[in-house]
Amino acid sequence: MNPRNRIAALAPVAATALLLAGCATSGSGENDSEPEPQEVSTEITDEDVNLVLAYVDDPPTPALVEGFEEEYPNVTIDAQQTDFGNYITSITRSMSSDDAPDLAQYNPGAMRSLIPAGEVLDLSAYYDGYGWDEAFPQASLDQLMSDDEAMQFATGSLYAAPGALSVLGVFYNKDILADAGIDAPPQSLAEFEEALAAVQDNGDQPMSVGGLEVGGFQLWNLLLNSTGDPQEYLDWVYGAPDSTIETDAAQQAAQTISDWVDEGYISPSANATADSDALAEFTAGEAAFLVTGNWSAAAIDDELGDAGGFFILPRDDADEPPVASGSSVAYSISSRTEHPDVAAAFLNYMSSAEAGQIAIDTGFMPVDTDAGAAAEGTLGEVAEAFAPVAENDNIVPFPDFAAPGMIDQLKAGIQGIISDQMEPDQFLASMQETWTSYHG
Amino acid sequence: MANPATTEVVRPGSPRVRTTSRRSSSATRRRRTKALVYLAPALLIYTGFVIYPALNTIQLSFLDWDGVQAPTVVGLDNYAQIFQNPELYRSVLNALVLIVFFTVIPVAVGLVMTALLMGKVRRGMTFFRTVFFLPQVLPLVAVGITWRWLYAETGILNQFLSAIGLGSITRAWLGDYDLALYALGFIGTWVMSGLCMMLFLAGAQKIDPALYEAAKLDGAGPLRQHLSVTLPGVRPEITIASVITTIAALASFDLVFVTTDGGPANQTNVPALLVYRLAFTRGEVGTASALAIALTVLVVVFVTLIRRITREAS
Amino acid sequence: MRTAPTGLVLRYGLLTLLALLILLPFVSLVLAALHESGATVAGLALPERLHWENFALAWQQGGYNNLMRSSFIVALSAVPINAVCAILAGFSLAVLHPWAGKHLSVFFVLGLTLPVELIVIALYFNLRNVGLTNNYLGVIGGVVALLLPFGVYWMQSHFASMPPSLVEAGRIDGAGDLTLLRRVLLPLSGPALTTLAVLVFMWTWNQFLLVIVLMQDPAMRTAPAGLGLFVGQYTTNIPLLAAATIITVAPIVIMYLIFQRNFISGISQGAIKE
Repeated sequence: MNPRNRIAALAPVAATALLLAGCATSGSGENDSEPEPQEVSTEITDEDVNLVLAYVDDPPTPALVEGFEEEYPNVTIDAQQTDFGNYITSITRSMSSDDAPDLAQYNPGAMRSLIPAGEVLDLSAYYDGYGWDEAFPQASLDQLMSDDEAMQFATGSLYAAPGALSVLGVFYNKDILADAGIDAPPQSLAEFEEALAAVQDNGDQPMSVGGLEVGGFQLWNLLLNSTGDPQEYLDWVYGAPDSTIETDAAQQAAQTISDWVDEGYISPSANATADSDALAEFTAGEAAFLVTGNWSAAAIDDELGDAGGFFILPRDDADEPPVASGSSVAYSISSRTEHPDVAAAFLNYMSSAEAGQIAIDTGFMPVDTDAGAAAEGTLGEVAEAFAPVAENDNIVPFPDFAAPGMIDQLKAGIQGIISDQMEPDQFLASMQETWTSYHG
Repeated sequence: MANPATTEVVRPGSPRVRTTSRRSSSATRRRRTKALVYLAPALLIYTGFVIYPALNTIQLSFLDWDGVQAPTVVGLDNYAQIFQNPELYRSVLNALVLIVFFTVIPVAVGLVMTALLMGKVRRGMTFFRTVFFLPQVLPLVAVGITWRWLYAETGILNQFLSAIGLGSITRAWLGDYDLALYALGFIGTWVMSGLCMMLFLAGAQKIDPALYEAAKLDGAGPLRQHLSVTLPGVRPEITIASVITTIAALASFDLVFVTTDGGPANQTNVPALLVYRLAFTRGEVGTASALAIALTVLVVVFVTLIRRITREAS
Repeated sequence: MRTAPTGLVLRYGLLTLLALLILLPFVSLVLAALHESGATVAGLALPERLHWENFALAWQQGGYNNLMRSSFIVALSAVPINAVCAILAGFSLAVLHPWAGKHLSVFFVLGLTLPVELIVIALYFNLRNVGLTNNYLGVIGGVVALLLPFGVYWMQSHFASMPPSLVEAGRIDGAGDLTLLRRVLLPLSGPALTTLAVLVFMWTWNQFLLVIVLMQDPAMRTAPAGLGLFVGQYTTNIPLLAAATIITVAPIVIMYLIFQRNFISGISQGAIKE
């Protein structure tokens, strides 16, 4: 047997965890290959251990790895990066191969195949062993939980733990807004539109949109978060039976983009603009607004300095707390790993104050919302805007979460709207079709 | 991809080498069997890495499989998808449009280049030939990156158009709903023209100089000579150039992958890109395989068609 | 002589124009690469100062140490393997008349029309089953096999075009098949082999789809595959991207300039040989 199982002191923890793990899996029923009962430990071996971690996001991954290695000097993590565009492809393939990495950054698209195939470790035992219900905010765990068919999310077992949170919002250039006579970020959609018009009248480009990649549909997503019913959206994204995206709010959000193209707030060249091009335009001071996530905050802070601002578009009904799309840089454990306990220790490290500080320092939101001193500059603004979202557990997933291939429908649909070749209704219908063909 | 290795099916030269005189037939038999040993390495690698996977793809095309979990057999459903799903059949139509830019125009441009490079004047011709062929040796990824930037809103093309007073038509070419496919196709023209030229030049060298003399005596000018002597003379090369470039058009992946990724709104989506996406990001290995087979069938149909057309013309 | 001066001017004018159109992208690429890293480069613009350090920066940030090593490992393995297989098979088909030789010829030639897309999906899963994904052997095998139809066809035509008397003479001296190949035919095959090697090197170097599918480890990808992914990360930094692009194409362009004759004869004769 494994040497690490010699740690006798932990037997009680392990036993309870085992019991609970049993409950968690037996509920789902028709799993034909019931996983072997798994003995888990929350203390790790002091022998030298090497783990391989496959990831996308830098920051924060390397910093988190470094932090963990400092705490556990006997563990070495070999972190291998792949870019986002190729990650689903490569991780699906490598996780189901004999040389699977021990740890992998969580990706819903890939996990839809890997979870039912049993390639991803069910973390229920560690969840109970470590008490992660206390350590992580529930909204951040919902996206990482699914039934064992990975059809419906926010239910079932946990398959990853979040290391740092990211959130979608609007960056704005304070100088350009001030020139246009606006001294505070918009507080409603109407004010947003007024600001866009004012900037345009002043001779500046209102928005930078990376329509070639994800920037286009993230704008749609942002608008929908402000006007749509969050529960309706969540049901759809998580795959709850009979949900639909063909709602008035979603239609209106798409229509708004179409209107903004007509008004000239969004350039038709957006369709040839990659996300990084849009960011470059914005940081060069060539556009007033850019819809993107906090992952760009550090770059914006570097380039624009004090002129970089951030807000989350408030809800229609100003009394309601804001809703923002977000995800987490989260990590899963391979079922094939020889060191599940060590890997789980890495996941648990994510809930620590040190990891929280690393998240903040690298431009992410900490998992532990109390942790860490608020950053300054643009990063500080992001943290401030995010606080009410996090407090109310109002983080919702990105729409491409809803089904495999959805990202292609989202990209193509918004591109169609930007080039005035597709009606909002068609856009929503194409997405719903993809949803239905997957969720049945 | 631009791979001239995918050349035409040409019957290799009828072997002029005769090895055996009359000997006992058993010795001949032994020798012919031994000859297979020399073929073995090539046969093994070729069968293992090309033929076997190709047959396997046929098998996969009848399955519903995400590449990880257990597959289910779905018969011809995946093929039906190709005809029913607009995303799939439109990608095939886009590939057909690319043939115009990868094949038809380059053959025409190649003929012009050949005409310009032929004749007695030799000074600098090697230089021009070297330059014209250069795009053909580059990785298409690098070509795509370069052109993506030339086509950008602030790129050279728009800079040039503004300079000559056409500022009103400038745009981000690869993001334009109606023109992106043509802009993409033109990159193919840039790459393939030199290849066509090179093939035509080789063919033209085999033309009997007496034919030109005869044409000259009939009073034909350079243009007439080109049309009445060179053009018919390089007909086999036109066939081959068409076959190579058509395959490159139908199976193009690299260029689209780095320039438009199929956008805007699937206007430049091509089968190869979908094969990749379906198989490796959407977990629809069966549909991807069916599309790959349809693509292969399309290639074979076109190769046959081109050969038939040019054979009839001669 | 017959060409009137105006015709001559027109001809050179057109040739120069075409050459400019073809070279323009290269010129802009080089100019862009020499701008300050991170600078916005619009169209054709001369840099204020030549920033040669971009090449070092792009090399380092793009991980070209690994990319170039992989590219050379793959290409320098694929070339000899392909050549040896092609020589043996071509020799056998052209000189030794194996059983079913005609059919086998056609069987190889068939491969010339198969698009990579047809094999890449199944090849990935086949190789995964035997643990050869994320492994140089898998990529090398795939590339060698894809280029074998050309290689076999090329060598077969080459051996078939050699004077029969050579073989006869060898036979009379009592040379076995292998001796015949090594002592008589191969010494006369230098140019044909160089051409084959140069073409296989180029096609291997430029292979993209096969590499991004079969190699998940970014450090093991080849230069063009790495460049394709570098785009996503560095589209904003045009000078660095341009520098990376130049680094990626440099080996193949140098090779083209040195072995021009082989490229040309390979492409034209390979396709046309009758």
